[in-house]
Amino acid sequence: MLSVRNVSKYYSRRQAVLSGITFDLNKGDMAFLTGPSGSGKSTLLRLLFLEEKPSSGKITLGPFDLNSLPKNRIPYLRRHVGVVFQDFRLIPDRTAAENVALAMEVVGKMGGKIRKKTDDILKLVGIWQKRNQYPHQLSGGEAQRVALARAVVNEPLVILADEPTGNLDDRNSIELFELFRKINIRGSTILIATHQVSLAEEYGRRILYLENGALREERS
Amino acid sequence: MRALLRIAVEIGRAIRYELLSTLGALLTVFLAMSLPGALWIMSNNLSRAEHELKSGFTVDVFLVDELSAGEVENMRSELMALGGVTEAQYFSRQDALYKMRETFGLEMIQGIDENPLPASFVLKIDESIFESYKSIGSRASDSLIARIGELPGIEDIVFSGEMLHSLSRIIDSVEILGIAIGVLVALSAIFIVANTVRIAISDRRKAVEIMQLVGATRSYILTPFVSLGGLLGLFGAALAALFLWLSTNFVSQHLIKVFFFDNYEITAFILTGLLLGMVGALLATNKFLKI
Repeated sequence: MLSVRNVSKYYSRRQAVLSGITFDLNKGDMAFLTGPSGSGKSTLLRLLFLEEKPSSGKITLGPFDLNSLPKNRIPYLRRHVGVVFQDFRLIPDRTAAENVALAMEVVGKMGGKIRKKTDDILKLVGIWQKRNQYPHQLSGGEAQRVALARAVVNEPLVILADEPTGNLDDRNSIELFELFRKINIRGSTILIATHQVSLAEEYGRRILYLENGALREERS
Repeated sequence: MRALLRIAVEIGRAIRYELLSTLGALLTVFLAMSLPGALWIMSNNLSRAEHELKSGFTVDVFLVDELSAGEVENMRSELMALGGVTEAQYFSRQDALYKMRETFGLEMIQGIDENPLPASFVLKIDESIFESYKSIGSRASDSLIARIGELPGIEDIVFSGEMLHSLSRIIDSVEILGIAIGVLVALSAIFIVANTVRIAISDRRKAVEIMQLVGATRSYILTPFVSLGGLLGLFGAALAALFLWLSTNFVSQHLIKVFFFDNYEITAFILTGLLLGMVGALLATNKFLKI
């Protein structure tokens, strides 16, 4: 499903942000990417949806060879990658349902199907009652559920989450991780970058530990 | 249909956020299109006047003596053979007197014992002669006048081509001025629309980034902005056309008959506005949307 082979990323000759990263994710896997701040977690995730290109190494995701993917094909890759960020990244003048629907609109799905799927997914993440609220009317936990719904709605090959609980309190963090697990059980492949190692350990899943840009340890 | 609705909603959002700058851009495009539009209409009307002038334009060839019927035919043949003469009508001295009486009234010729008017041919000239006149100065028509003058029995030739030449020069000047001003205002319209679209992009930057994140293609993201630019150009030009139509009606009713654009011209005028708006929007999106 996702194959990362000896990937490095340099912003200058002297300093490698990532160095020789190698790992695989199979379909249905759920893994945590942990490590201290500045260890390269976010950079690694950005490489996986081609917000940045690796300096060396090889990444493949399903049928996509990310190293040779032309710029005009990047949107088609991103339709197969659901991304959740710490700061939610919701469009402020769209309601919760419209934010989720956006992901389906861009892939050309039709109105009726969009409505049904949006409702289903908002129910799944427990935010359906707030579907007509705007992001500024939602709490952090609610906004992150909307962001998760948007990431999941197109049934992507992989869901990437970059510090999704960074702006949430403990209760909301736990609830969000529960949601990830629920979605994973439905068959989604998930990679979550978090510095909350203890929380990750509680789920007994694969943990990839990054330090100074290198993959130091892999536990499961 | 859904795509159109989406574009309309996105344009509505852009206008709602930046109503003043959008109205400003619309006003600027309106003004920018009005000036070359007015010059275009002026040029059209002058060209029409020139054409009418040409079709009614004649050369008067005054003869030394009255001609007999046979001589008239001979001379007509010689005149027609010169090339550029489409019709040669003979007026005897008596005809000329009648014509003068019709034109100026009976009183003008009372007290004249002897008819002082000469016999003449009135020649109609092919329009191509005037085109040559317009393009290469007076050589073509002068050459025709010179050839007529070489015929025997000619006393005088009256040809008011200079007036036509002046009119042609005015039309040329208006056209050149129209093109120059048109280019300048087209550039300013493009600039203003580009700036408005740039502001719209700036307002929507976060939304654009999120759209990219979820896999929106370049065309999906750009279409509303380019459509906004196109609509600004389209409505600006349509307003300018309405203003020019009202103006030509006013001038026609109170001053002189002025013709407005025909259907093809009005379509071209409004489509030009649309095109300018889209070019401005594309420039803005290329510069400010790095996707």
